[in-house]
This record gives sequence, C-alpha cells and structure tokens, in this order.
Amino acid sequence: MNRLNLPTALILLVSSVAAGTGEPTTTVGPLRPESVTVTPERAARHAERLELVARLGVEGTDLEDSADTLAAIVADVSEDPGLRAAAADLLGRVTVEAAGGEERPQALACALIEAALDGDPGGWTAGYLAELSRGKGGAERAALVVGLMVDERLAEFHRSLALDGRLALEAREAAVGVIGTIEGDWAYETLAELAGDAGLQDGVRVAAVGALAPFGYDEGRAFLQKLARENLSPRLHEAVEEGLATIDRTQHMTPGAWIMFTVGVIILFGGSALFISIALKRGKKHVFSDESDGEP
Amino acid sequence: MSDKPKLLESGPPAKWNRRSAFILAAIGSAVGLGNVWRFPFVCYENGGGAFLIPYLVALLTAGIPLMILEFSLGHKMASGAPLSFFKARKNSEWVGWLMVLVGFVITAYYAVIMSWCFNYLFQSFSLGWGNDPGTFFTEKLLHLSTGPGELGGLNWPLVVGLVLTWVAIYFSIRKGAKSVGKVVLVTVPLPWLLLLILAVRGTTLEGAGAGLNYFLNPDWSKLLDPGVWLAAYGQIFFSLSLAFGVMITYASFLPRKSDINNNAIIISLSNCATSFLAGVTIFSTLGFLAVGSHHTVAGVMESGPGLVFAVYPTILNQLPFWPGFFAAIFFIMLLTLGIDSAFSLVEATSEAWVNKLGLKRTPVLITVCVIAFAFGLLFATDGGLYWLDIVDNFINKFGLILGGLFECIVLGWLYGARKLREYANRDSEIKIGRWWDFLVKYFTPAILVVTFGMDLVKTITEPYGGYPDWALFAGGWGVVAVVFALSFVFMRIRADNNRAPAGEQGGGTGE
Repeated sequence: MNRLNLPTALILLVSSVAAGTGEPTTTVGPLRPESVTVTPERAARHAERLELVARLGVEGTDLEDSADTLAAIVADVSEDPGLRAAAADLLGRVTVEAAGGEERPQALACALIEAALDGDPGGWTAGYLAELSRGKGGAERAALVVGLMVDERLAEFHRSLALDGRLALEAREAAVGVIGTIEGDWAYETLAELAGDAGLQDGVRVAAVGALAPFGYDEGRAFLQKLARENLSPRLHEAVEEGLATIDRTQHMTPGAWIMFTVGVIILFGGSALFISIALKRGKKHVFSDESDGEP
Repeated sequence: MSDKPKLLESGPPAKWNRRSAFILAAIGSAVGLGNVWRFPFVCYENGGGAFLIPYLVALLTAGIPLMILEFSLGHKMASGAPLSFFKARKNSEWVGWLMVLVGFVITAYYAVIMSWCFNYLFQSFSLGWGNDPGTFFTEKLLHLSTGPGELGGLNWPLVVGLVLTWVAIYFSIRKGAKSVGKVVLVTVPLPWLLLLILAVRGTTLEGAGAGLNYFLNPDWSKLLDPGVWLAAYGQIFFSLSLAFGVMITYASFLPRKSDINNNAIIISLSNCATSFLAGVTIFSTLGFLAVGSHHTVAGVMESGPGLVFAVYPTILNQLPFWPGFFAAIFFIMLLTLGIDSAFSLVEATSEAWVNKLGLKRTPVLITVCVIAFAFGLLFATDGGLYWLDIVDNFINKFGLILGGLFECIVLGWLYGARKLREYANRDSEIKIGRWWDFLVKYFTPAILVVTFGMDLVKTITEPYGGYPDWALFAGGWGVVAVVFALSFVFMRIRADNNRAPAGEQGGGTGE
C-alpha cells in the first residue's frame, strides 16, 4: 500500500513543481490543494481525524463502521495529504473486506476521484488502484472501483493521471497498468492513446504498450507495428517488440497447445473408438445376452 | 400389505434390448451440463493443456475403476442402489439411499436449470435476450431478488419450463429401460452432433486461436500443485454420474452376460471426449468474443450458468450470420445434454422405491416426479437462484463425496473388492487385475477423504458465497443433514421386504 507522510508528500510536491516545466501543459486539476486558512475548528478536526486514523490503523480493528468517516477524510481537499493517504489505505482494507457489497467501493470510488482531480500530490490514488489490482480478484475490484465512477469524471480522472505535470511517474505507470486490468474497448483506446502520445514520458508509454498487448490482437498488432516505425527510444522500442511478441503468443495456438490438443484427441476420441471397435468385433456374440434373448 | 415379499409383485425390470442402448444411456447420464460449463473452466484454471495429464490419470485411476465398481454391483445384484447395497451388506442399505437422495435433490434443481434452457430456447430465434444477456438472465428471466431471504413469488415462465421438463422426463422413462433405450438414440447423438456443429462454427471464427490457446496452452508448473490434481479427481468424480446410484441401476438392467469392463471404459472415455469437445467449442467462441471486445479470454470467461446464459448469448448476438439458428442449436444441445442426466437420476430413485415397496412402476414414477417438481418450485421463485447455488454447493461437496467414500468402504472393504473384480472379469473382454482392488480400497477413498476434508475446512472458515448463516444452515447443512437422516429412515421402512431377491444374477444375500 502506498502510504505517504506529510514531509514525503511535500518533497514530492516540490519536485513535481520543479520538474513540471518540461511537461505538457494540459494539466487537469491543480498541482496542489488550494491553500487554506487553518482555523481552530479545522485544527481540532484534523487532530480528531489523526487520532481516529491512528486508532483504526491498529491491526484487527473493525473498520466497517468508520468507512464513511474515512471516505470523508480522503475526499477532503483541504486535509493533509499524508492523513488522506493513510485514510485511503484503511478505506482500501474495508473495500477488500466487503468485496461483495457495493456501498464501500462506491464510497472509495468517490473518495478516489475527488482525490485524483484534486491533484493527488503523492500519486497514491493510482498506487492504491494498482495495489488493489494485484491482490486476489484484484482486477475485478479495481475495475469495480473505477467502473463505479461516472463516465465523464472517469475520463477526467484518467486525463489527470496521464497528462498532468506532476512527477509521480511511478504512480502513473501503475495507473496505466490498472487501466489494462479493466480491459475492453475503452481501456484499449485509452492505452493506445497513451502509448502513441509522444508528449508523454517513456515510462508511461512503455507501461501502456505492455498493458494493451494482452488484449490488443490484430488491431493492437497493427498499432504497434505502426508505432515501431516511429523514432522511439530504445526502451520504448523494446517494449513495442515485446508487445508484438505477446500478441503473437495470445492470438495463436502455441506448439504446446497444439500438442495437448493432439494428445486429447488421440487419447479421448481415439480411445473411445478403439474400445468401441473392440466391443463390436469381439464382444458382440457373447457379452450381451442371456438365456431369454434380452428379456428375462 | 401381506408379509409376503413384495419385490416380485412389480415383476423384474425391463432390460436393455441392445448393448448400445445401455452404453448410450450411461453416456447420456454422465454427459450433462457440467461437461459444457464446468470442465472447460476447470481445465483453464488448472494449467490449461497440462491439466489433461492429471485429468487422464484421474480417469484411469478413479473414474473407470469406480464405474466398474458400480456396474459390477448393479449387475451382480440386479437391483437399484439401496437394494444392491443391502444385498452386498445388510446394514449398508443406507449408502444406497444416500446416493439416491443426493441424486433426487440434484434432479429437483437440475430440472429448473433445464427450465431456463427451455425459456432461452423460446427466445433463441429472435435473440430475445437483447444486448445485455446477463441482465436478461438475472432480471427478466429469473427476476432475481436481493437475497435468499426474499423468495418472492413463483416465476411462471420458469414453472412452465419446469412442467415441460418433468413431462419430458416422465415420458422418457415411463417404461424403464425400454423407453430410455429409444430416447437415448436421439438425446445422446444429437447433442454431440450439435456440439460438433458449434465447434466447427467456433473454430472458424476470428479469435478462435486466442481462445483455444487459453484452453490448451500447457502450464507445466501447475503439475506440481496438489490442488490441480485434486481438481482433476473432483472433475472426474463429478462428471461421470458416480455415487448417484444411476450406474448401479442402469447396470441392473443388463442381461446376464455383459462386458462390464469395456462398457465402463467406453462410457468414461466418451464422457471425457465430450468434455474436451465442449472445451474446444466454448473456448474458440470465447476467443471470438475476447478479440471483438478487446478483452483477454480470461476477462470474458465465466463458469457455470453465467457462461451459458450470459456470456454465450452475448457471443451468439455477435455471430456474423444465422445467430438465431446457432442460438437454437446451442440451447437444444443443452436440453438434450441435460435431459438424459435428469431422467437417469429419476430412474435411480424410482427403481429404488419400486424395489423397496414392491409397487408398480408407473405410480412410483409419477409420485417421484410430482414430489421432485414440488421441491423444484423453490428454485423457480425470485430467490430460487440463491437456494439453487447453496443446495448445489453443499449437496455436491458433502452428499456426493461422502456417498462415494462410503461406497468404496462398503464395497471395497466390507463386501470385498476381490469378489466384485472377479465378477466384473467373468464376461469382460478386458480383465482387470489386483491393482483395481488397491484403487478401490485405498487410493480413491484417500482422494475423497482429502477432498472432503479440504471442502469441510473451507466451508467452515469461509461461509459459502457470502450468504447469511441461516440460509447456509437451511439450504446447505440442513439439506445434507436431512438427506443423511432420511437415508437411515428409508432403510428402516419395511426392512423385511428387502430379503426378496429381485432377479439377482450373481448372488449376494446381504452378508
């Protein structure tokens, strides 16, 4: 899980602003939360929340009843990013525990999208989704979380992850991986768009190529072949080659599959035919009769 | 009733008039919906093509030996399952009843699944499930409620389908082996033919290679996983109609001189070949869906009813030509696959009661059909799917597995595997050796004990399907407990009548 404390978040924030000059200018959402005036009420609420999160963080604590409060913390733009990350971490555990229901993932989805659009300074939103997708049944959960977001905001969400000027490259790569776990036309088109965008960092494009290959098939092959003809960095070129190999592996039967197909046909169908022929040739006369010719 | 044994009053049962009738009937019983919606998924999940190795080993070391065991018992005792067990060992009649009752419970909900098939068949030509078959299935067809606690009312289209199913079952077996022998001439080759047509259609679609690759590409590392081997044994055990009393009953209708061993081999291999063909059909068409929608094959794969009632109709919608025709073929195939499995289970139950009560066949059969139909109405309600899921899980995991285990213990240890082996070899072209005794007495029971133990621990530690405890107790543990209790109760009913032999062919007097 991608936990961040306040100093780390600040370092990342400063770095992202510093590195942001070379990035595309299509930033969606602010790079940092709006500056807020710290009122006594806010300070008291923060302390209260900090205490709550610390208390809930103890292993074995029942989180179910606090899910809404945690979601509120995550969704609060003005809250300390470290605290929000910790709250999201806990909220993620609730989601996993209540994987059968929809209420918790929905709360989480809302919290996540709010956080993402808010700038997600530490990139934990994407990191969280990536983490979610790695666990047992994770792809379904990640897809559920993202799927619960409304369409328009989903698009904004992904734009914010892929195109803003922040440095949270690792998180964005992870987010691209998550899009891959969702699959489908939308995921393919999004990934193809990301892979083909020369304005993006190599890491994101490499991740996009890797994520689209398993379900790219002919369309993906044509796209990657076209991409391979462009002037790519060695790393991206290698990813494209690997992607093409992956497509070949997934789209056509491997020699191993052909061998097992043949084995299945020979043993099961051939075996049936063999024993039926034995029955027909040798058994007919004396293995299906009684004194009364079939009727007792 | 007089004290005179009643078993002879009903007369000896009709016998198969041809060897092929018996073989087809037994294949028809073994081959069912599970071959289409379970095997391909289990294969894919457990190493793809590599799974074929443990699967074939399981077939040779458990499937065929158990089939020979049941055929030998049924043929030797010439009776339904309970009476056969009684003749083998006086106090073991309950094992036969346990098998029959498990089969009876399964028939009750299996008929509802066939009712779904009927409803889908009616929708086929117009592709009435629309663009979202998953929603059609749960909302429009099943009117699925929010949980098992909300039964809702009867779902009339399902009830109509259920009536059709039971009428079909009744007419298929009303004259026992005689009518079954005729029905299976259609219901066994036809689904094969249809499956073959669908396989050809599937493998000629774009993306078939991707699907088949998922199905068959071997992951050899899985062979080191004990879970994969257990899955193979589980698949073999569940798919051969073993421990339902069906094979015992069918074998009891065989004439005196019958090749038990070769029959068992032919039937087992044919069942597995059908599964394999179904896998090719399902995965090639899944590949088509995956390629068309930019998914991995795993991303569109489902097992169980979701595969045939949601995913497959989605694929049918996208077929380039004659989608309605292929849809009808698919659901006719499912119906014909399912009907002979269903009526074989009813036949096993009816024969058991005919043996027990000495009544005529027709009233017993009608009673069995009506009771099973009434029980099945539970699964034709808005909350029926939940109950079906719960009952299916528990009755298979605990009723069926334990039935198989007790069968091995009673026949292998108490009655004597050697006696049955010698009996099986008597008229068989292919003789089995002492290795068979080992498999029946030690190996298969050990596999069943491990499977049962793992299932028990899992069920206790992880409540099945996230259902509430009360539902799991009522529909799961409760049903299993009632089935066990009734097995002993039925054994006690008119126990004296059991002593009358019913056309016994090879001896056996309740040692």
